[in-house]
Amino acid sequence: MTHLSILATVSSRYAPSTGVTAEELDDGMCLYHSGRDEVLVLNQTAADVWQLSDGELDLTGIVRQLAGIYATEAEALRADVTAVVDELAGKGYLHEVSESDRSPG
Amino acid sequence: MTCSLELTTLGVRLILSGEPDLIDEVSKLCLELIEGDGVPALEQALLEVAAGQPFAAALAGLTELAVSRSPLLCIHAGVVLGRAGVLAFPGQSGLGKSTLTAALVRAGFGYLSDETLALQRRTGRVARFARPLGLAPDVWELLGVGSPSAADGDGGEERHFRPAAFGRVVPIPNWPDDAPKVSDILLVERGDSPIELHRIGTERAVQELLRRSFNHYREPASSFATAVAVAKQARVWAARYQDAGAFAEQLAAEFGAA
Repeated sequence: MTHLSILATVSSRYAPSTGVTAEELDDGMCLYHSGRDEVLVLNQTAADVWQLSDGELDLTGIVRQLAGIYATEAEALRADVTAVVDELAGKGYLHEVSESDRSPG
Repeated sequence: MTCSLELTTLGVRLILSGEPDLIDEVSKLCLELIEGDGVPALEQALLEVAAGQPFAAALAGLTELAVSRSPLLCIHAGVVLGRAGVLAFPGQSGLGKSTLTAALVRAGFGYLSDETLALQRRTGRVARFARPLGLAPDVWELLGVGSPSAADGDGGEERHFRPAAFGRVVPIPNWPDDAPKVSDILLVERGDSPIELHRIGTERAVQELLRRSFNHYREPASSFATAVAVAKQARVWAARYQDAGAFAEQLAAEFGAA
């Protein structure tokens, strides 16, 4: 991952893509992508990132929330959170939410 | 052995040279799996699939049609009933599911299927698809159903056996209320090492159940939810064995035959 990709996503918001279904497991989460006909298994940390990717919080907000949950410094989490979001978005499980998608309702 | 169609005053009836009753039984099982008993179009479709085919090909064709049309979530697996519930071992063709299933039934487990774990989506209850078991000559002796020298032709031909040759077929008199649920999912491998059996994570079972599904694409979200629910309610095991008979005995001791 390049420094540029991190800069490009810190203020971006992501939400689950259409056709993706999530189910909780004892120690993580399973996602099913009907378009890819694929199952993705998330560990607990990645599952936390997924659950916070609701289209409202941007990447910085997700990092802050997780830092509070894990009682750690936000900077220590930023790279991992970005990597998870990048991977989920790259595989089509998350999509970036545009400002027009977030119109007040 | 080949199948043909014969029109009688009672309707179309399937005739299988040498084994007419067996293919009728399989057709009935398929109709149960499709939940299409009494639906003439489905009955006709089954007849057309089997007509003119050798028995093994007819069985394969009937099974393929049934699992693709079934409203149940159908997963490629061997399925038997133990004391705590259903043991299912999903896997690809050639894994030895029929041999292990037959060995488990001989060891006292109840027979449900050597081919399909058929799950009611809402409840996870298991339907029976108790087909004849197709076994190669090299396992007949192991399972006590004949000698390889008794094989037809060059001795390499698979032969199909009624489940009763090995033990008990599980009765499900009142579907789905009397149907059992999955208690254990085994992800099995054949290998030269001694028998291994250890617990693994639920996520492995979810992946394998969906990977081996015949028809999850019909209702993807419901199939995923069913696979997760079934995996979460079960114990999940990784297993490796060389000899199906010895492994079946160990599983009977570990899990308790029905």
